[in-house]
Amino acid sequence: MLNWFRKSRPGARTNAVLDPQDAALAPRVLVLGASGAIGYAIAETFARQGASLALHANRNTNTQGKLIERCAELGAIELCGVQGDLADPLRAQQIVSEAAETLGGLDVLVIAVGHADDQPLLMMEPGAMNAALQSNLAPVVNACEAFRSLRTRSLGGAVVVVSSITGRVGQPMRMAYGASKAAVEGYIRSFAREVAASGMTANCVAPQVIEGGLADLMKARVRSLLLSNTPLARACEADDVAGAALFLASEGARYVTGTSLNVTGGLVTW
Amino acid sequence: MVSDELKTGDVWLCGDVPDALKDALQSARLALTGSGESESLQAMVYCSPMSAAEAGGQHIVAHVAAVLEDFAASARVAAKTLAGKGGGQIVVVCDIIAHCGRAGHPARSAADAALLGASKCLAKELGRYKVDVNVICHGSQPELGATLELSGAERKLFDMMGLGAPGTPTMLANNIAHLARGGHGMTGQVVNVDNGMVM
Repeated sequence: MLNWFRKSRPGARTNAVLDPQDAALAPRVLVLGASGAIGYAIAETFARQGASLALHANRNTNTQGKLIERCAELGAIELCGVQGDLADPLRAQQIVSEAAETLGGLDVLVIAVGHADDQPLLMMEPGAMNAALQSNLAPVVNACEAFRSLRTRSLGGAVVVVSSITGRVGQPMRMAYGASKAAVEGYIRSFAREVAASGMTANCVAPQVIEGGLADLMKARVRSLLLSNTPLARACEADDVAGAALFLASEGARYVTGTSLNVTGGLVTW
Repeated sequence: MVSDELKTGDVWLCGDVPDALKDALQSARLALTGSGESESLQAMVYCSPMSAAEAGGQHIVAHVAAVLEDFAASARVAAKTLAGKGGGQIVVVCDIIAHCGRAGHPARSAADAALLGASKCLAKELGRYKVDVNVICHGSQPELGATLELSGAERKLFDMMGLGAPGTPTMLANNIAHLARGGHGMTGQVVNVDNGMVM
């Protein structure tokens, strides 16, 4: 079991293994986009570690309900659901506040939201860039600013954002998506510097397309080519991303901030 | 957006291009080609706003959207034209904080990082049309209004190595002209013109 980044709570042990039965020491984690494939896996992974979880969904409340039951089975200490559109700054603020109120505070914010469209440049309509940013950047900015406000008097804490390898190495027909995910990483680099004095860390996880996510939307030929170019010779799964997110939220990553961790099976080694 | 006034030459200057950079770029082209009317230069140079007021909160998203929509409109015109000519160059100029972030500058950091991401996607999309897309990230450019203020500790660190000096429009223009000329086999690349601040 990983040690948690727990400087903010009375009695918290920053270098001790977490006792899963001790609710007072359970890390309080808000997972945004928990009804998506990656968010779902992240919630399961944190539940196995004995976290207290607030699980967010925008519209897919059926999946959110099932996930809450699943996380209870896996060992989550406390659980609650929050709902709403994170592109709305006011609603994002309310979601973070509701989660904190229910769990008695928040230590970790994980953001796994986003949407991709295939749009060649020459066919891209005006407003496409803004639409991509509203889906991919606005939720991150709104949630991070709300989390920062919430923790003004606290030390420590961690923000982990799921970005995309597309923002780092590009992908044809995905300029709007790639640009918006790169914007997320750019924003997080500045945010990380701004909050560093409080001990809070902020990092990104940049996965390639995952099974059950964007990979399912790809043409079979492209998907096959991707797989045959992946040194680890298997597709990326949501659990692979969850493992990286867990590490970046843990005590072991307390000196890691403002960076992005590639989760590509060796497809991208730079 | 692409200005009609600037489209008449063999290099289109788009975005927020300071006058000092236009002058320096013209000099660099002359130095590279020996004349101001080279047929070898077929490029679009897109400059991200260099001295934009810093925004916060939701304004960050609006700022990034404005920059990206403008870039997409310019790139669409450029890509169509350059592809029709059998190829060409797109050169994007932005701030080094796209790479490294900066406390107090989340909007510019996000917007310029977005241009990096967009450029790499375009490089892969336009490769089949022989259109190269590269990025120059500049450090502090006082004459162009881009002042990346270093902290006292940073200043001491770079001074110790003899690095981190502010750039000039001529330095920037020389690098733009090199990329705009083509024949370099580079696409999807990011060149830092920052006197060693980010390695």
